[in-house]
Amino acid sequence: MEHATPGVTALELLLTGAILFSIFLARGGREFFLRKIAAFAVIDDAIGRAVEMGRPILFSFGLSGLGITFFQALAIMSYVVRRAAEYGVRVVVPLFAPDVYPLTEEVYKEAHRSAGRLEEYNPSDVFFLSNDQFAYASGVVGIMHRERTATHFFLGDFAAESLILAEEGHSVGAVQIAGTPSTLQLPFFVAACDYTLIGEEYYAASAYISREPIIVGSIKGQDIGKMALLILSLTGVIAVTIGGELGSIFQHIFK
Amino acid sequence: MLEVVVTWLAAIATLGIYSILYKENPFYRFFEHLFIGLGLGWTIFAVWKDILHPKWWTPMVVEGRWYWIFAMIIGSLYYFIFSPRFAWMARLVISTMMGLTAGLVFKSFAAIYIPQIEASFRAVRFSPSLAGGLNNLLSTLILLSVLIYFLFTISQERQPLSTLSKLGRWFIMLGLGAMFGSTVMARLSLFIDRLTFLLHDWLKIIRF
Repeated sequence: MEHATPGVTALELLLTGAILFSIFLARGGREFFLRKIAAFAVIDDAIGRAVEMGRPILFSFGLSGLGITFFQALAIMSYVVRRAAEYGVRVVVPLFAPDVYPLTEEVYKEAHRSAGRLEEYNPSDVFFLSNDQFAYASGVVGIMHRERTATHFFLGDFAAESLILAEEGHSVGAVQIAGTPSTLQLPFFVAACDYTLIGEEYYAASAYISREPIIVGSIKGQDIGKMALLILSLTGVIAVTIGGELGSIFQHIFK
Repeated sequence: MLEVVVTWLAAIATLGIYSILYKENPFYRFFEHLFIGLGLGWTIFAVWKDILHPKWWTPMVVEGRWYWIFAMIIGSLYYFIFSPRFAWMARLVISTMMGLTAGLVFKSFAAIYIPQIEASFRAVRFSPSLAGGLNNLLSTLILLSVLIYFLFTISQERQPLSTLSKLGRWFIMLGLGAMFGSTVMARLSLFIDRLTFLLHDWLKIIRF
């Protein structure tokens, strides 16, 4: 689809309008309910485990480059690093993409500053490892074994290395929390990790962690959009089942 | 002769990486670092050969399109991220990239998802095909329950949302299980390829 048809334009206006309206409400002070997601509820417990064991935490963005997936994971990393810094636990962050290095380092440092533990900040805990997929995987596996990491976070874009990382992480006995928008890799994380963020849960992450009105409002707006799509789909199913002119309208609504 | 040496080196490297299955050891560590170093060296070469040389150097130097120099100047601004005083220059590049990404995602939304919405309009009729009708009914039920599962700002403790949400979760797990099976097959083929290399090319135990 190269150009928007009237149906597509109306739908996009509805979806973006719902998101903007919800952000507007959230900024005005309206508080929205957010349902509990298991993987978020245990982040603090997973950090606590590393504290008790006196071992570092591993945080991997996978193959993420500069993009939406990376920024979502960066928000979670910031939270994890801040909480870990409060208890004096190291967070090791090996990177795949060189272009995300300066941003990650900056956020990592800022997290230590906001925890009031800037003296614990160690620049060598954030480092570029490799931008060859399997070389990166072998490097991360080596780190898991040598550092004897207690907790692993795999959040970002992952491909064929997902199972290698999750399986090796499991073999070293670490608690693992994973999330990726890549549907093909989710089954491996579900199988080998303790908690997995499935699909859209990954994008809801920053709202849970930051409680920023703009992000929470955006999640609310997306929910309104999903409900609108749900109603549209069900109406479409009923219309094409009945058939006739109404069915024909729905079959060509976006054409 | 060279081919034999390369095969031996590749076989030893393969065994070195697989040795992590026993435990972390110096043999693995050596090949891990070798792999990372080779990967980086190869990437630098590939970036020059596949991107910079044909798409930047050749147009600028060989074809005389001098204005491509601006690509390097703008790209180099990224390095100012290391300077607290001039970091704002790097942010110009970063925010441009973010804006570009957001725009592309917004554009791709319609191309990816609108056809899916349209495809969800399935007639639930049990004639002439009972199986076809049941298939469409199941498809609609899965769509409904999975979408409900992914509603984050609505409490799912009350009925019927609670049941539909749980049903959605089960459907997701069934889908992921099917994907797991098919992808594991692909991963096994990678392993078989390595075993073939070790047993056929290197040890010559098996022959085709």
